Amino acid sequence: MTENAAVGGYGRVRWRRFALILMPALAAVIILVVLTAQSVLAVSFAISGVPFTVTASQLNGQGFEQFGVLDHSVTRGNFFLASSAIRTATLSHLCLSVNLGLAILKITAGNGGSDVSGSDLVIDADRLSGNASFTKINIGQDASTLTQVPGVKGPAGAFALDSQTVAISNLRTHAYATTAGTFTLPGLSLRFGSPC
Amino acid sequence: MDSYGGGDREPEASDEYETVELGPIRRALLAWQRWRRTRPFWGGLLIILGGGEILLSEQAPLPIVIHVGAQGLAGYLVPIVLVLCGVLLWLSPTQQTFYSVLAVVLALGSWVTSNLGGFFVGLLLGVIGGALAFAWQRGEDPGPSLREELRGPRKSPSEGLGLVLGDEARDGSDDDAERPGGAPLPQHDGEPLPQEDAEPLPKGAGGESGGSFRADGMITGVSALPLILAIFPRASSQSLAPSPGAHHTKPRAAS
Repeated sequence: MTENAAVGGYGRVRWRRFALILMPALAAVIILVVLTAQSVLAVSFAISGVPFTVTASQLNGQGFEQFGVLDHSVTRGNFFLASSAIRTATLSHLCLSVNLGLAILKITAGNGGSDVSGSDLVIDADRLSGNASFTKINIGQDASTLTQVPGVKGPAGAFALDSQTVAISNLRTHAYATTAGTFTLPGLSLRFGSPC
Repeated sequence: MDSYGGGDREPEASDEYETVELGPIRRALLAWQRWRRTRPFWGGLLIILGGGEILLSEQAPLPIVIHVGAQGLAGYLVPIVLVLCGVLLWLSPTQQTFYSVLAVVLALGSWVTSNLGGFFVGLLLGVIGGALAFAWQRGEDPGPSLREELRGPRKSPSEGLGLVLGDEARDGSDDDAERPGGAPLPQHDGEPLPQEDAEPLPKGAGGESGGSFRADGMITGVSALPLILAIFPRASSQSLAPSPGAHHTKPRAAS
């Protein structure tokens, strides 16, 4: 490593030094992925702007709200979305696919014995399908008076429903925005390929 | 892509006097080239792109971000600071060690806070960019830039950094800067005269290998920190336990 430094004040990259920091950093990346896949580490999500698909074979949630929101997009103008919020939820066979433009990224988790668990989930979707069952459902509530998910409320006067628990099987949503406070993803797999 | 040690060498000192007569376009190109090569340009660019990609992947509406709280806010803070690191690497390359290590740590942290590091793409860009910027080494004597030529000689800023890093003291650029007049000596193919090498530092070649070893110990010590933070994310009492080990590496390496 005793080559002459670049001439005239021009810097250069010393590749041995590059490897020295890149190797531990990549090891840390691998550890992060493994810890997430073992659901030791909880990650948080906030996606918006790109439409994406979420599927799950089973969703069980505590504290559910749903109301309509008006969204605006440059390409589509104004359009309505159903905003669903769940306080805590467990999902099995979760699959999330996003079109990144160059490739479709597919994230799957919860295929093994343990389920994906999340808290403070908010999903703005234009298509939502599945077989749902609710307990203590309250249909037609004013969206500004929702209390099931603290902090998430709709516009005053808008139609809304809420329920104490929700169970949806064969869930499939086409969503435009989602946030999740925390998410544990056991059995995480992240690959490029076909959508869910 | 980034090492300019070989083929396209900077025109030697004789060219410096001709720059005055060059046309404006050529002059601008030269200035741009000089600007680009006197700082960790590609590392900074990759970091900015990575941070930008993470930011683009997460545009949650603000009320929800505030509702989610610290986690949601961190999702924004991490990529923003990542972009800042890249910009500051360009603007003040003397602080490259701090900014590049911070960028690597933030890129790793974005896995937890920001959509799995912007779906992994931004994370990779940030880590590779940070490593590139860290491995970038300043050249010898910066020489007077066009603006400095008009202003007159100025003190070279690299002296303090050389002291901090320990392994830059050998490049002999500091002695040139300390000479009265500050004009760069005509260099013969980039090799300083043997006299200059022997005069300022008795360390010479031995000091250099020791210096780079010391820096390497620091690198591994610093880059082990995100590992420790990642393994013990929640239990703060536990995360205190390995930190004496992390600190231990530094004094041991420094002695």
